[in-house]
Amino acid sequence: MDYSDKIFIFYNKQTLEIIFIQEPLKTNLTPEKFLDERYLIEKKCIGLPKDNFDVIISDRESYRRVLKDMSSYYLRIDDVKNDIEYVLKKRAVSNPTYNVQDIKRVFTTEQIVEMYHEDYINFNLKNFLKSGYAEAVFFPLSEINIRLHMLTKNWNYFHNDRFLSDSHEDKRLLGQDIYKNGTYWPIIVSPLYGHNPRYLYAYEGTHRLISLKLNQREGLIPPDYKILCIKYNECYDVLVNSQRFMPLSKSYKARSLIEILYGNNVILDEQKYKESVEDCLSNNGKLKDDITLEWTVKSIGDSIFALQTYPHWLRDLIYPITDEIKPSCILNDEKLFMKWLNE
Amino acid sequence: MSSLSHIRRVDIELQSFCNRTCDWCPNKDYLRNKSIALDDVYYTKILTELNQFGFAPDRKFPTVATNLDMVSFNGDFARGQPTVSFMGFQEPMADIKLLKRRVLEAKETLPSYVVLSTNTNGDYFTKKNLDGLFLTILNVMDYDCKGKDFWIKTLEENGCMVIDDPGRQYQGILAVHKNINLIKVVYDWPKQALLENRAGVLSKEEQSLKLIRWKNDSNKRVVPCPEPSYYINITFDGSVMPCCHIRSDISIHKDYILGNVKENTLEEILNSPKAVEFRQRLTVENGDYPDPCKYCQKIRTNICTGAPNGFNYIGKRYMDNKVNENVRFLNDFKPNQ
Repeated sequence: MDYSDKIFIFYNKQTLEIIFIQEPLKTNLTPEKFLDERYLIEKKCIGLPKDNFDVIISDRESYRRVLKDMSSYYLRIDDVKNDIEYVLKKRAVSNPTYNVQDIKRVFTTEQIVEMYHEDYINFNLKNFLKSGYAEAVFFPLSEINIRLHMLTKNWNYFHNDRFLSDSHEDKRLLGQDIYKNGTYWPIIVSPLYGHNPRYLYAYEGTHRLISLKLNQREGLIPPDYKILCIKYNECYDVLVNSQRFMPLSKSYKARSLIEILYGNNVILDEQKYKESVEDCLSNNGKLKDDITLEWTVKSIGDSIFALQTYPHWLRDLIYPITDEIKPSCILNDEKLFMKWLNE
Repeated sequence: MSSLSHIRRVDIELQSFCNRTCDWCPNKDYLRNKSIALDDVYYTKILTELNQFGFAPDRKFPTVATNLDMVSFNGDFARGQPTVSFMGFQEPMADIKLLKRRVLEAKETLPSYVVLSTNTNGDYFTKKNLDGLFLTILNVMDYDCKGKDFWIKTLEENGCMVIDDPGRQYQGILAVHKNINLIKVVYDWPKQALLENRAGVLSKEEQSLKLIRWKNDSNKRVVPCPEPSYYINITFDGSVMPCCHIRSDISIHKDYILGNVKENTLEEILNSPKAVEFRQRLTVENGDYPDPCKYCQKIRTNICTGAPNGFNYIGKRYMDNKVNENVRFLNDFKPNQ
């Protein structure tokens, strides 16, 4: 049978928990083979009989349609219909990375400091790491590989901040600054899709890594220099795409500005603001202050979103005032970091 | 004015000289052994007009990829970053001072999202020549089949850092340099290349070309071509050509010179009846294509949309030079033909 227009969903029949979704592309994968494979490798199957698990074959086109707006949905098993159901979330998370960069409130330096140190590092990053879904490791540069991703774009283009503009022509400048002052954010690393999991590649922080490595080649940075990385065991691309609906085994809290979660309308429209707050509260969330929400991170997609919200959001706010807001010492000192993490 | 907003790529031949005469290049019969440079004033005019007429507005993100197979941030002809490339039937690094000067001027004149790239045969690949060459992409063709190890060593010796991304399945070597975003080396080029007939100038019957593979066996073209709808080629003498294979200095191509930047603006040239007709003839399947295109096998595999002539194109459909195939499209885009 041809499964090129289907997806396979591996799930726990007792709890209806979705464990893995795959589009059987370019392979002769059958549902039976898929069940056998996943049962052998999924941690969530350890100690449980194979009969507890099953595979649902569902329509690929519907899945892809939903993927296009993936952050607005969650998936659940409809065991009566033996299919998956796409449930629209009330909270519509738009692409936090880029599409709202041009519209921002005016923040005080104190607010930016608080968002960086308290909300991003002490709350989101710590809660994320304690959830155990990924680990923080200080890696030597030689252990992180560079992907082709974005290298065909000019450095002063995607984020026209002073770090990338300054180092557009001389790509060593960014690394020299990091070596001197530290980095504001961890590098995100994971294996490539379908490749040896021992080899890690940078998925966030490619420019920083290139710059550091270029300096290291020239002896300007010592060979034993290490940088903080968030290491995922599965390919990051897969996690942010097809696996992002996967529920976390343990939910946790994250903080985000209300407009990042509900869109910029909330800045301009008081009614929208009220509705958004109500929605947040009804979903087990709470207000930290009048612009910052604490919300519950339930899926892989949510967790990546929560972790990456601030690096992409704050960079434009922090980089013009780097004299006032320096990179966190915690993120740039391995001993300090481990102490902080275990507090 | 934004009459050039649909143009995604501009090739500018900075000068005429090439130090090689390769079997697979028309230069072996139409010599390029003298250097005639495109005048400063016309180069500046080209850049100014590209800005003035709205060349390739910023298209920051390609259509959202919905699975791993469709993630393509690189090499997308129509939807990727607009590109100015300093290539043609010349060796751009042969006059490295000129190339560096031109790249700098382009960088200062054009928006930051415009990709600046060129190809080289690698004969002038030295540390000194690379320093201060502020390109986005430098493509190196290993015409002598010196091989992977040779090029890795050469790159490392010249201050480049080789990177390895097996996920991309790129059949070549990738490297970064302190001034150049990305260097791509196609090692063993003649073994990897699929030859095209260079707008009718080369023939697969030529003895020297018998060993080289031809794209789609160089059969008669039956599929449309988006190239002239999205692309401008400006040669060293200021001629504007509709395709990178069509040359202003070959007699059989003379009729296809669309105009000259020394006499007209780019906007006037691209909107001339001659240019419009050329583009139009290539928008249909199995059409009456211009002579240089009749056996050409240049087939772009990407999606091209937005040309003012209404020509939308999905290259994947035509990869094998076939028409009327029952092809399942990978996204919701509907071709308008």
